[in-house]
Amino acid sequence: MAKAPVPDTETVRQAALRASWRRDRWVARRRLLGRWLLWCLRRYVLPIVLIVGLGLLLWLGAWPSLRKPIEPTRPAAVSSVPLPPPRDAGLRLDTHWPTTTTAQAPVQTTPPAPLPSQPTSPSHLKPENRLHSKEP
Amino acid sequence: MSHNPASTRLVPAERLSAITSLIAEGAVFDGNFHTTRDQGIKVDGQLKGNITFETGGTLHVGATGVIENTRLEADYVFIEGKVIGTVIARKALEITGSATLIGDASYDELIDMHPRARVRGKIEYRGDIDAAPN
Repeated sequence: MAKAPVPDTETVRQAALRASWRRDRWVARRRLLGRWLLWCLRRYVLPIVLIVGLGLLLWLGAWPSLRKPIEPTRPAAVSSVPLPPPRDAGLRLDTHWPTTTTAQAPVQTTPPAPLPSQPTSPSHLKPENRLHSKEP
Repeated sequence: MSHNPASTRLVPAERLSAITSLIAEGAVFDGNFHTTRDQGIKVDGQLKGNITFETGGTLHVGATGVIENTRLEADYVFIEGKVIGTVIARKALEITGSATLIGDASYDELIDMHPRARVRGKIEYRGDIDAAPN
């Protein structure tokens, strides 16, 4: 039965070094690639992602503080009392503060139109005021 | 199978091929390594201690190697892994892009550092700073 040859020290040393170099090469390449990728992500990809994300947020109107303030709906000018400014509206510069003169209803210069059909009382009937009045 | 060591810029390949001692990956060595001969050591595992070559010497820290609390002194120092401590290269110091060095390093003649190397410490040239360039 033939014995297996026993490797000498130099052969073992060379084999161990070669295996070590092979592992080193792969580990070093992988680590260096990871460092370059990390740098590229931080330098180029992350700003782009942030800008695109911010743009999407603005486009969708999801950013709460950038929404348009709610315009108060003013009723048709029927009352002469000026309405107080709404409290729930956001801060905004309002140069036309409503005053009593501007908010009043327009003065009617034309006399009111006569009522179209006022029933005339019959002559035999007296108005109600005259019933209780002592004047002749 | 790779028959050549890692591509180096300063450390001669013959020096890396003449490594005589090896701390293998996964091994943990706690203690000091000291020799007066011009030999070499490669660290792929974990070492806590000093490595000193009084004359000559080549130190190769592999990509998987980690050396902590150390003072390394040799003619040629080639770092691909992680070193925490002080490094003294009497001839050439080479730090690759996969290396991490936390500590001070000094060299007498040549240095090469990859732009992606992570170094936190002081790099000092120990030679004559006013000498004429050769």
